Amino acid sequence: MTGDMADENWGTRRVERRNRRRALIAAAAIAISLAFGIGGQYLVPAGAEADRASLLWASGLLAAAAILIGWLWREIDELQRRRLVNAAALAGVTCMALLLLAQAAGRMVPVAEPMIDVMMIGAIVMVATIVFQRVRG
Amino acid sequence: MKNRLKVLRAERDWSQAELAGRLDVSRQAVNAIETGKHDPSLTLAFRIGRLFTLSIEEIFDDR
Repeated sequence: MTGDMADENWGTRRVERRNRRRALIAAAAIAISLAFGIGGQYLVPAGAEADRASLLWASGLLAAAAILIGWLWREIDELQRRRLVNAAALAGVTCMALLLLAQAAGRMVPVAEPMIDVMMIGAIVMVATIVFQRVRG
Repeated sequence: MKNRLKVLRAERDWSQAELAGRLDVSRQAVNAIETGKHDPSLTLAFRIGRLFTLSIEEIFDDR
């Protein structure tokens, strides 16, 4: 037992430290999203280079997201990991099902980016599932 | 699964946050285990047993 553990409230302080680290991850996620969102809007050139630059931006964003998720994964406990996996699974199944509909509907309804819409619905389903599990306790 | 976690915690006058910190899990995890909404992994069950110096069977009851 360390000197810190001998203290009556060392557990509470450990939780507070963990919460501070999680807040840091959330702040980093927001900062990266803003940087890529705003940067992508103004810095990606138009014309022939646009597709290549968009691909680079998207790759960078995915790499940053993977690093953040890995960091977050280390910080959360087994219950939160299970909830995250449940939410990701439900979002994945939703996207898989909607992809078929979106492809068919895309030919009939004038939707500019059906795949992006499916991705957004998947993200909403994931966030809603996480919130639902949290509220349900 | 039923368990005596809430009683054991109360005996030591620990809050859920204090117990969570000692087990290195979130307060939500402690609450979910206490209310029977989450069955802990074997690793966490052993950690709980070690913290209270009790065997897993003395804390958890699956009947």
